Amino acid sequence: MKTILIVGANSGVGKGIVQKLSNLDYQLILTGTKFIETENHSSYILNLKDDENIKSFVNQLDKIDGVVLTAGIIEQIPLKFISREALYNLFDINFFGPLLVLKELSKQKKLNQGASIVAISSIAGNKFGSIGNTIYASTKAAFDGAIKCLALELTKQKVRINSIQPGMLDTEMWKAENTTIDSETLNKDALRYPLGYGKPKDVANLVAFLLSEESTYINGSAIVLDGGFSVAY
Amino acid sequence: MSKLEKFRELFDDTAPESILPETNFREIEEWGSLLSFSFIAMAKDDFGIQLTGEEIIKSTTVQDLLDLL
Repeated sequence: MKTILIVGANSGVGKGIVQKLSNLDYQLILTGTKFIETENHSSYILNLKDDENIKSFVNQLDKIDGVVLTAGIIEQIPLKFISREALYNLFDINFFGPLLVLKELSKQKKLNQGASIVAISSIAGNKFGSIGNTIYASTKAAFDGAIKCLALELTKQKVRINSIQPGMLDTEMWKAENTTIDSETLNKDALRYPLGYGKPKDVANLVAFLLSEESTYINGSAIVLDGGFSVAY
Repeated sequence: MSKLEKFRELFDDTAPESILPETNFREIEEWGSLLSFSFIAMAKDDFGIQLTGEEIIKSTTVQDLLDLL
């Protein structure tokens, strides 16, 4: 049975990915900021801001066949309010931490030949601008840039890496109590999407494909998953 | 600096003296998502308060916003 590591398994998208992959023939290793109760998989708390935690976590793993990087945070911070602290906060979780997980997996030779890595990016990275999202968009663009280089570096290990660029997704991140964007604005925004906002299961289905033997020729790609939004605007 | 003065500082193209506690902030031409996010960011940075978009949408006047701080 193949083993897949999911970094950020307790996020809205992460939960959808866990649900999908649980129904397939995979052994899952789940990480999150909180311990995830699970009967069938292993679960770890992983602090993406802590290099030693990342190193020791990877050290205790056996070899794995796939990685899904779905940890991420978003905060609308206009230019006048950008600080080094805010930059590090978002970059640590969205880019530095996940990249250092990949570094340790590679350095400690934990990736089996044929492994597939899937990072959840965003159309915010290099497709669309939006007010207040300078830092968030930069973190996503950074990862998409890194993936192109990593695809070349990991080829010798027969490891593939790709990213998914979703548009807006209907997750708890956008519930009224969690966001600085009001529901009226979100409802109007959803109308701009030909198929409405995506669901975690839409991302999970593409993740499953990119982890599978059906996608072994896809490498170094950033795949847009936005229900047609980017062709409408 | 008072809360009202801090609020006025968020604007670039609006005369400070035209922004009064009783002003309907949505009627200020410059008001929009950037100002809304800026107000929320100011609340967090200067007052340690995390506001949501829903709290902004329930407000009408400048004073309503200042009362959130």
